[in-house]
Amino acid sequence: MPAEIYEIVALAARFWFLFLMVMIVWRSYRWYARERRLRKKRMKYLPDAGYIGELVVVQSANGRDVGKAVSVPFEGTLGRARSNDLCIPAEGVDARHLHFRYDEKRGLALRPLHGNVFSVDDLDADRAGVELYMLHGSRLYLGDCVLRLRMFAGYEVTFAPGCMPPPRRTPPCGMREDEPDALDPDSEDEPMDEQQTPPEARPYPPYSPEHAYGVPQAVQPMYQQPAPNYAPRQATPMQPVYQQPAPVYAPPQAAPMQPVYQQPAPVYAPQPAAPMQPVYQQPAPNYAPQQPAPVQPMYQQPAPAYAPPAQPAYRQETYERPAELLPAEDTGAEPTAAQWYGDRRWQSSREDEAYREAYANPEPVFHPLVEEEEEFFHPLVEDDDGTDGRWDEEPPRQQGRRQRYAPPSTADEEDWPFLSWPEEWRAQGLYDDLEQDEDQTDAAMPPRSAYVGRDESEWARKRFWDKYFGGGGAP
Amino acid sequence: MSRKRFQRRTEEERIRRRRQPDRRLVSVVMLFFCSAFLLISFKEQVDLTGLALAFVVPALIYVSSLWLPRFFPADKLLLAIVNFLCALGVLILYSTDGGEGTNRGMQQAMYYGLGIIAMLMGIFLVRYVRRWRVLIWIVAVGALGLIALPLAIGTEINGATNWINIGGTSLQPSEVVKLALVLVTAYFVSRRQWIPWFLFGLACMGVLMLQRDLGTALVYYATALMVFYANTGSLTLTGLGLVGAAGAAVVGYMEFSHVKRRVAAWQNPWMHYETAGYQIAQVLMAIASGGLFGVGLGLGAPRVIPVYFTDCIFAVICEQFGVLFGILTLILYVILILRGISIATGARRSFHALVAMGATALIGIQTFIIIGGVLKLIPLTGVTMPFVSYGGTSMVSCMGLIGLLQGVDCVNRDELNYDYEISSTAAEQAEMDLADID
Repeated sequence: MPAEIYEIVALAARFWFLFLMVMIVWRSYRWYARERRLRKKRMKYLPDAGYIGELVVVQSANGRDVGKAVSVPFEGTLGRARSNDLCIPAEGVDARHLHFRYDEKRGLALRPLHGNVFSVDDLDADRAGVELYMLHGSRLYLGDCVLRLRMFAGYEVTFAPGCMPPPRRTPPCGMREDEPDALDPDSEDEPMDEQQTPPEARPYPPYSPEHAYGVPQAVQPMYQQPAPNYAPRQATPMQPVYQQPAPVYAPPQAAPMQPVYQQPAPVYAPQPAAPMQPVYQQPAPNYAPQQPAPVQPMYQQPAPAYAPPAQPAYRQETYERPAELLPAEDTGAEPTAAQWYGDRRWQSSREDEAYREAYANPEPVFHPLVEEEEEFFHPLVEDDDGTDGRWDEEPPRQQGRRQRYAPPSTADEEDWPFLSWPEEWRAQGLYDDLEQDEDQTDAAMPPRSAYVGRDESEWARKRFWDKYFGGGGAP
Repeated sequence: MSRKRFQRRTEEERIRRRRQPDRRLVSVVMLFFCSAFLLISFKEQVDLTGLALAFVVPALIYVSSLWLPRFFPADKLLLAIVNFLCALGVLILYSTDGGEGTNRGMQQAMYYGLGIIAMLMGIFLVRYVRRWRVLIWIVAVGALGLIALPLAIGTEINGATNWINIGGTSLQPSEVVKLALVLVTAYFVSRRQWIPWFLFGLACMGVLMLQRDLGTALVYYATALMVFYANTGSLTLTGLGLVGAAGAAVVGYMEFSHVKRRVAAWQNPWMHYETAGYQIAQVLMAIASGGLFGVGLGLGAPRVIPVYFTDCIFAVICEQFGVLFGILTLILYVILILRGISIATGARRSFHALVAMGATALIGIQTFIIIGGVLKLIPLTGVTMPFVSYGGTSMVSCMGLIGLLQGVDCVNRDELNYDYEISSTAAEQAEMDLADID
């Protein structure tokens, strides 16, 4: 190419190159900003990511921060200064007191800094170079406060995929379950027929009772209705068949091979002397003419031979208590730290027994909405606004979910047929459990710990600890 | 195609495009270099080498940016930016090879391939080596031996004795030791073993001062100080380190004559135009002649600048492509550094975080020193522009640093995916998938 022509082409091409460079920089920046935004979104769903557990203040001199939990990362320093990974502003704690790191095989290793001292259970770190390991439930004596480690790294989480059959994927609002996933661009679907009318969108919300998913079982507790002999209704979501209590486990008294459902008349006849079952005393025409035998073949089967599942061991007592933790003889000697405080992993106290009895409800009622919480405390989430990880209201994760899945109103009688039931039943208070103002949106999913009330949460946490970590209850 | 079908296809295409920003970026990068090498190959006669590079370099970019990440969860944005900068260096060197009879463009392309191998080694080193207790001492002792080698068998180039010749190939050990500096510093600082860290840094600085390689010594010192601050957060000690660096600079100015000359040339290059100020004066004139949009690819007079292919290659870029292009190049460096910092903050172990922070700091400091010197912000020192300057050792060390960074990112993604799997239900995963689309 002649030099003159090349010069002209090169002069023209510099604008082309500049345009491409602008495109490169712009797309790089867009990509960078997008991934930052996605990471923030994803981390909202993974509040525990990057942490191995929590250190809970169980005792302090002034009792100010008792109950406060700080999330423990894999590595870092602990001290009074705010620049530490774990800031414990207590008396006797140095600005940088100790260094910790997580060892997958041995636990949380602690090493003193600057000649500071601390204790883990009964072991003292009183010289440089010594390294102590904390396990789940270990206590850290630091200055005038005592912290207890609640470790969740290395433990599988309940409801995690693989631990149990995963729940069904809930389609977004307004989307039919059998509709091809329009959000997956890789799916090769059949071309849409022009003559075919588009399917009508199902009424909102998708959890209406006639749908296959989202049957609100958990929020409509049948066990509160003492009805062993009531007539089963068809196409009524209020009576799931597996909540029938008696004929499976309890042997019938009169005829073992003839369950109560095959007894014809007295079941459906009005029973004037049944004060506990006012619902079925009404001459409701919807329920009377039902034929019980053909619609319930499963109850005609003889009672299964298997025994009812044994209740899980509430506490495992398979290990022996160490000799040094046994109750000391009254020798007048000063008790050791383990005897004084009690190692909750091995030894339970009277408060635990009383607590367990108080909350040993065999059928806990899970309320999916926390309303009476004055201050919702979610310690695993970072605080951006200087509120020490506390929100004045629920965290935004729950707000977003409620907005997405909450029904806008219960006035739609098609979705909520019990609204058309007789008003006199309502006057008798039979609808109190059904019409209470509670969030029924998470009924399709198993309730998780963040959605239960304070008492239920305490109870479930205590039971989880006792079952898997040897007792002791929550700190 | 019906309207509904068309709208549906359009929607799917929109979602697919939003999900693939890597292909959108890499396609533009490939188009840039394909057109640039095609233009260069038709400059005087049809150059078959240029034609080959017009397809080989985009293919190399495609392989390293989109194909290699299929085998490990690497950061594609980082890869795309680094590949662009490396290919830009190949392009500039190839465009300036014409009249001089050199072959730096092709050599740089080969070094680019070597750099990709070094990057893979860095990735696997960080991702799969979990026990550093013994290995780090081997690395430290080996690095000290390597950096001290020019004192025995080295040759002096431009006032610094930091080159050795092995089998006819020149090698700059201080560039390779940068990898060891990042690893050793990160390990000892994360374990708070201050004495080994201090001794290693002191030994490296002492050897570099004996070699009169002050630019590299500055990079080393600033990197070690940055890693120290990232781990401890101590403003007092870091400030003391800066004061010590200022004192060392004064001592160096008083002791070394070539430092005095460089400072004098920086203050007023036109007074020393015939001697020490010639290089910086030519650099400034080249940038000025380029203007906003440049003089055109392959045009101009870049070869009048001393060592235009290493230290002053940014001036050549500004001359041929313009100042706007140079500013956009700086923005790319800034995005690369921000990305490195985000990788460091996402690491869960302090060693990994400090490795990422050290690599990012080293690249950023080196870029600032050389571009600041070219733009006459600071005295010009003899360090290379990362990924762009000519030199196999520099390319391998910089790509090795990117490999360390990518390795940390691999570990981060592995752990995050594990958390994603074990701690979220299927419904939450579906919500997260929906969030990816938004």
